[in-house]
Amino acid sequence: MSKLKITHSLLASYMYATDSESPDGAWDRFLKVLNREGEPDTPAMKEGRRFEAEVNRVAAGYPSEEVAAVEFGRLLDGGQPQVRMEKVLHVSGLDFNLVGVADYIKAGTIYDIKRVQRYEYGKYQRSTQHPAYFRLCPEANTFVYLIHDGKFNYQEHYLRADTAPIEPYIMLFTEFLKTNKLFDIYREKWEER
Amino acid sequence: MAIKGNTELTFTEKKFIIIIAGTPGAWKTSTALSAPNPLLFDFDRGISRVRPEHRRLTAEEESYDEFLADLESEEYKACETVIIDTCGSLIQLMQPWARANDQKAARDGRAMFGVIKSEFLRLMEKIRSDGKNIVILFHTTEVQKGDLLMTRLSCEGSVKDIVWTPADLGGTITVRGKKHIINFSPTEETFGKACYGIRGEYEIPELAPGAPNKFLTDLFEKARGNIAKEQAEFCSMKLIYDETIASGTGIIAGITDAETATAAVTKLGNLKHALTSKAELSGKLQTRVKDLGLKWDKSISAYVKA
Repeated sequence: MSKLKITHSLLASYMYATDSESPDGAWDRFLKVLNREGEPDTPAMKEGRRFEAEVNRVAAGYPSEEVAAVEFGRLLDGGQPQVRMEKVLHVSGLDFNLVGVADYIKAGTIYDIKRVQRYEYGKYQRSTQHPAYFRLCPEANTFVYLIHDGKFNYQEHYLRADTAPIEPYIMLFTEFLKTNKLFDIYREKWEER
Repeated sequence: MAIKGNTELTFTEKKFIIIIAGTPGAWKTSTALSAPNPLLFDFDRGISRVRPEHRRLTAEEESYDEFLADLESEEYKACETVIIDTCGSLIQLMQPWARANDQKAARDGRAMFGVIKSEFLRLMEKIRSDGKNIVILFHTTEVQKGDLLMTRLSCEGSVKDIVWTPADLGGTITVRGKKHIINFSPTEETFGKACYGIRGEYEIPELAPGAPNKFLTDLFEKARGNIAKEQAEFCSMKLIYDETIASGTGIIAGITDAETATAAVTKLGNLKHALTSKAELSGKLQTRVKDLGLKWDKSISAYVKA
């Protein structure tokens, strides 16, 4: 039976595109994600990957000169990096294959490393990432965003008990696609057999 | 020896850092004064609004240097809780100090807030390492975001963002009719930080004449009780988790080909899992089979050469 693949990134892209305060270009970016069109890496994306790799090196026991990476790496020491998870969800009469890759999982907590240009507390409060990952990993009760803005490290903690389920987000996304005549594109590009 | 395993830790003397936000008149100061043996740093000059019987030892600082000097006083050493009332006013008091103590901060506003940020982190660490609870009060401001009216901490610079990292708990007080409610869980409109089983809404009791003011003292005690309970539960789970991770890691290390990988799936499934051991071992297995060039064939429910 076919399933529609869905990821937190796709949901985040849709939410960003439909946020009245998002900058120009958010809608075009969403359409590219929906069409699974790759985009060239920006310097910010490259820096994000470099920082994450440095944190991974520290977590794996290697030394680093980068204080921010050392702080996060030590916290993640002993955890399992890059855990791919998937779960079939039945929402709005459709089968979705929810897929996500956790940066780290360690003793009941999921960690995600974020390298941002600018940070303000609560940045991830409305993110679909922790609702999605709590659904994917039912044994985890805490989700921690480890955030670095180039100067300081920050953390945002979310508890399962305070987190809304992911299903209503998927339901709204599906309705939105149908209303805007984009559902056929989604089915064509994201269907798994 | 200071190093302890996470099953050896005890929290009977645990101190807390708590953020309390709200509009003027939300009972922030009165609530803060309900913490154990407090010393109030009244940067807002608001102690007069607290009922006299509930006032406690209070410092009204004229400068940041005076504040730093008071952090060496006997009164400070004797107190159990330090109240910063409010953090926004403390940051204003720090500005002339930062300009006087840093040449770049004297010329550049952004550099000044950088100095303040670093100093604030040092200050929190000092008070915490002195073994005090810290209650940090903030006024709130409202920000329109789409259809939502969101409540944010009122404070210049980025201290309002970094303050959440060391905080154990954070809540916004809202007034509904005659009730003052503090919510420790984040909502669409407000920030919050829940921990140690302290989550959701708590009604702050009105202080009638003669009534003891002990809301935060009770809350801290409840949190300590929850930590002890969570720790006991975690310890029993952690023992199983550690054993399972060790056994599972051994099973995965023994995978050499498709046959042993397929057999490992059953062995890993039969382990007694606790916490996130199942997901973590699944991640280790994914890495191992990828390294060996294997893939899962659904039709035969087995690993095969990719």
